[in-house]
Formats: sequence, C-alpha cells, structure tokens
Amino acid sequence: MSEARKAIFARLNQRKISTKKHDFQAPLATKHLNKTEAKKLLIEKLQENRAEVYSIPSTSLTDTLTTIATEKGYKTWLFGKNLSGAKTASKALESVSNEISVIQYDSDYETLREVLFHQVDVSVTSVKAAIAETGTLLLIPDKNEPRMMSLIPPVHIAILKQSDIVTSFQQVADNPPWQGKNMPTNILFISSPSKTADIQQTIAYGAHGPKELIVLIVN
Amino acid sequence: MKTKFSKRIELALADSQLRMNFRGAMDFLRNKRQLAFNDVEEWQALRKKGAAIRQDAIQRLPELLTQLEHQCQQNGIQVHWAEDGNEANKIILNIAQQHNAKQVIKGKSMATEEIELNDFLEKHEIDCIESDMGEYIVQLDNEKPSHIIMPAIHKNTAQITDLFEKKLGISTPSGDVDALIGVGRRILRERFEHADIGISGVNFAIADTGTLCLVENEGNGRLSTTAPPVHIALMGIEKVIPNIQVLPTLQRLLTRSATGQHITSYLNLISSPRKKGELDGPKEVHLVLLDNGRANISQDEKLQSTLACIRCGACMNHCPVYTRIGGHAYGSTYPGPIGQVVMPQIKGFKQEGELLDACSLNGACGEACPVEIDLPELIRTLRHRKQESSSTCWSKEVFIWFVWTKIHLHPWLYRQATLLMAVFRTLNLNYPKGWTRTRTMPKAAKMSLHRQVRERSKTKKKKENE
Ligand code: SF4
Repeated sequence: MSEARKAIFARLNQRKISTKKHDFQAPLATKHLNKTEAKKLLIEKLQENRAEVYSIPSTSLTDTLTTIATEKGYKTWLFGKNLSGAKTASKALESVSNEISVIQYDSDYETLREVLFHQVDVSVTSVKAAIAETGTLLLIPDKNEPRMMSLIPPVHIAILKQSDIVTSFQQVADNPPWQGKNMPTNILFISSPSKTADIQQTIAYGAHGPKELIVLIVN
Repeated sequence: MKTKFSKRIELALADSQLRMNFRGAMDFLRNKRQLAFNDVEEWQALRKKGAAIRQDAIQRLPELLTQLEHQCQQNGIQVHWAEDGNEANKIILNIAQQHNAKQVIKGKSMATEEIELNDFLEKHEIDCIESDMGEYIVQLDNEKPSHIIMPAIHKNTAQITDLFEKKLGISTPSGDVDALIGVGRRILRERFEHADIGISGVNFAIADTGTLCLVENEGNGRLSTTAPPVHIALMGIEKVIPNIQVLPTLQRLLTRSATGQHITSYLNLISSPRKKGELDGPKEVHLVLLDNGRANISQDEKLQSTLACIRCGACMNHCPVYTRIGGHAYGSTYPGPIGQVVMPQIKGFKQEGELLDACSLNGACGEACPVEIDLPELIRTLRHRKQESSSTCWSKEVFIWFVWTKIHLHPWLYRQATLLMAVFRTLNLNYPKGWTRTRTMPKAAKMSLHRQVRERSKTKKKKENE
C-alpha cells in the first residue's frame, strides 16, 4: 500500500511551492468577560439550545438530583467514578424510592451494552470546562467516565464547577486542559441535546443521542 | 446510463414540488447564516483568517500529511493511503473482511459518497447502512444526497411520511416530524448496538496531535465512531490542519456558514483507539487518506484553492441555479458551485465538463464562501481549460462570442449591427429556444440608445441656439 503513498507524495512534491506566507497568527478581536458575565452568557446560550440549566450551591447537589428523580420519574441512573459526591448522591437516590436504582459504569462496554441501550434512563457526568461564548461543555471521557455516558442514555446530567467557565473556544485551544501532545482518546464539546433538522428544516431533539441535557452549575 | 445534464435540468424545473422544497430550504439556510454573521467586520476578519489557515495548509500538504501520519501511528491509529476510490474501497473491504464484518454503520461522509463505498460493500455482501437521518432517508429511497449538508433537502415531511410507510411499513401521524425521527432513532439504535464496523468521514485532521475532528448535531457520528469495535475514518488528503489552535476559527466558519449555528451539538475529537484500562470506544481505529485527484489539483497554481474547501454548502445555498434545479440535476457527488469546480477536475471534462455550463457567473457563491475561494474565477478558468482541451472545431458558443467580439471591437460594425436589429425588429427569431418556449423574446427598440442620445442632444443644441 505504500505504493500509493509514494505516488501521492511524488505528485505533491512536484508542485511549485509559492513562498507566500499566509499569516493567521494574529488573534481575532474578542470580548473578555468577567466571571459573572461569562456565567450569564453560558446559561443564556445553553438555554437557547434547549438545555435545562440550574445554578446550585455545592451542598445541595444531592438534593437537586433527588428532586429531579422525583419530579421527572427517572428510574435507572448511571454514574461514573469521577464525580465527587457520587457515592452520597447514589445512596440518596436509591433511598428516594425502591423503584430507583443506580448503576456504575465499571465494567467494559461489551458487558454493559444491553443495560446501556435498554435500561438506563439518565446518566450523570462531570464537566472539564465550559465555553460561555457558544454555551458549550467540554468533556474528556476516561476510564472513570467512559465515552458512552453522555451518548446512549436518553438524559444526560452534566455537572459543572462554576470556576471552570471560560469565555471562548480559542481560550481552550490555546491553553488546553490536557498535556501537550498527549491527547486524551476522546475530547467532546457538547452544546445541546442531540438534534436534527434533516426533515424539512424542522428541529427535532433526540435524534440519536440524549433527548435532554440538564446542566447543574455548582458554586 | 445517466441522462443528459440538460434533460435532468428540464425535468427538475418542471417539478414544482421539488422547486418549492428547495426554495424553502435555501431561504431558510440563507436567513440563518445571515443572522449568524450579522457583524460584517467580524465576519470579514474571521473569513480572512480562515482563508489564510486553509491556504497555508494546502501549501504545506506534504509536511502536514507526514506529521499527521506519524502522530496518528504514535497514537495507535492505523494509517492507509489510497490513490483513488477503488483503492480506498478495497482497503476498507479488506479491513471489514479481516473482522468478518457483515454489518457496517456509517456516519455522514461526502468522501464515502465520492468513492461510492455503499455500493461496493454491498457487492461484497456487507450491509452498509447510513445513520445520519437525512442520509438514512435518502438511502431508504435508493437515492443519492441532494445537498452536502442536508442530504434529504429535496423531500418534504409528507413525502418522508409516505416513504416510511411504504418502505418500513410504519405509519406516523401526518406532519409529525418528531414521530419520524423517533422511528429513525429506534431502527438505527438497533444497528448501532450490533454493528461490526463504524465508518465516518473527517471534517478536519490535526497534524501535530494526530486528531480526527468530527462536527455534527445528531450524535450518529459519535455513535458510529464509539460503539462498533472497529472504526474506519475516510478523509481527503486536503482536510489536514496544523494544530488545534486553528480549529476554533474553522469550526466557527463551518457551522455558521452551513446551518447558521454558532456551534453544532457535538464536536468530537478522536486521537486514538481504546487505551488499556478504558472501558469503551473501538479497539481499532483506521484512517484512510484518499487522494482521488487532489494531489493533481494541488499542482495547479490556478486551481489549487479548490482544496481549501471546508464543505460547508454555503455556495450551493446561494447559487441561483442550484436553488432552481436542486442537487440531483447535477448528477454528481458534489452539486452546486463547489461541485462544478471539483467534479470536472477529478473526473475529467469529458465526463463532468458539462457542469461548468450551469453558471451565470453572478458571483454569489464566491461572496458566500467562508474561506474566500474565488469560485467564479475557478469556473472561468475551468471553462477556458475545457475549451482548450476540446476539439478545434468551433462550437456554437465560440462562434457567437467570436462574432460578438468582432462587432464590439469595431464601431462601424457595431452601428451597422444595431441598425440592422432595429430594422428587423419585428422579425420573430425565437432564439434561444430554452428561453422563448415559455417567454416572448423582447423586441429591439426602434432606435439604438446611442442614436437616441445623439438625436436628443442635437435637438437640445438647436433649442439653445434659437
Ligand atoms: S467552496 Fe466555500 S462555500 Fe462552497 S462548500 Fe466549500 S467552503 Fe463552503
């Protein structure tokens, strides 16, 4: 197959390369937002894109989750291992009613597949950072919070620390929260529940991924 | 056999439902884009930057591709090179056969359309199903996409309701888009759960980290690249970008130009297969780098900028010809202005040169392009090349323009010609036919504008002298 590679590079290297420099280093003019403005904009953008957003003190995380469980009737919950307070929350949820059960994503996908596709109602994950400008959550799945958590269950609850809100995507790209070229397997920027406008430009939610995105901003 | 381009155009123009569907969709997309770029200064600055990023990447293709290959391999992604569609198909088939794969699920990818992967796999008894809702609808009706961003744009809700009833035996309440999407979701989830291989395209590939970027709203791209045990990504070699720092600019230009969104629901960056200890994701990731004429295009300084394209679809949304005839009439993988530029270059003038005729050089596409590709200029250049490459015998068009040039270069001839037109103005020439069949040909004025002005100034002078 390297025959093809050779041929392609031969063609590419035959080119007369113009020496014109294309300058794109100059940063674009951006507004800088202070913490309060950034949070406000983030909430606005997320809501515009059909996410439910709640701003809560860290002490009431468990209460908020149990309230959601009772109000919305979500029965089977999925947790990973990254979230601080997950243990307490799981216990509290299970004590709300005996219909509620909590599953840990602690074995591999092949083992959990059935359950993931057919049983889980809602999954809860942490968020690495959020981008105010576009209302975007940055998730970096890992062995403690695998990729499927924010994808297969019909509802995704994302928990964001207020201090992790930044203004722009450019800021994240310029100072990424990962180590240089050591890229995580998967990095996700999530800005709304899954959606499509493929049928006569009518927006429908829950095309393939979560139908609902609930964001809890914890301060 | 493909019907002739002119015939396809005629059929499309006669289909009032089709024209209504496209008109509505184009107005919708154009308005949304307009709203997203309401700050003109910001748009121009962003566009300049995007254009520079892409031009630079095209200039440095060998370097960036080498880096991408190396970095991907470091990350555990297997890299393959394909000179043309046939080779790419074979590489993909080979991987599928190694895994005894029977079921493939695909995310949206124009590159796989370009190489006609579905048909190829089907011939080898591998079932390849599209998972993008639009692509799924189109595949269900044995059609090809009519738009590169919204594949089923030529159909309306009622037509899709009928299609689902006919092909799937599932009836949904009329006009209920949510119900239709629900049906698609149910059927495709079943496939995601059991597929042996997931295939996707790539929107951008980051060279210095070996990262594949996928932009989407539905989540089917994420499912295709996460659920099956093997993921194969196919990308044209021009999609490489140097680093993640340039991604925000390109992402903004792409999504705003395509659908007027500031960002899509998902931006998915993939840098490796499942690592040791991780619980999900494919165990193998393959990247197939497709040339299919691109290296040749990059050799031509005048046409090189074709490769800067980020496949946003804005040029077709703004093209008056596309809006009227729709994507299928072009009969090519890429329709609209970018299709008119790409197709003749990868398939030759003989097969696709006709596409170049369907342009009025109004310039709307070039103005809409987020990476400043001068599409009208490319179309002009290609028209020239096509003319040069065709036989020496004079076509009707060349003859007409020859006469036109002669007349316009000689004032005496010009005067005679206008005089003749005025004299024979009542003669009904009914030419050109395509125009006059449904319209009356305008008549020339009794007196040419030049003469009218001259006469008028004469009378004016007379009056002044009196
Ligand atoms: S040529 Fe420009 S406008 Fe057309 S699809 Fe490509 S990037 Fe978009």
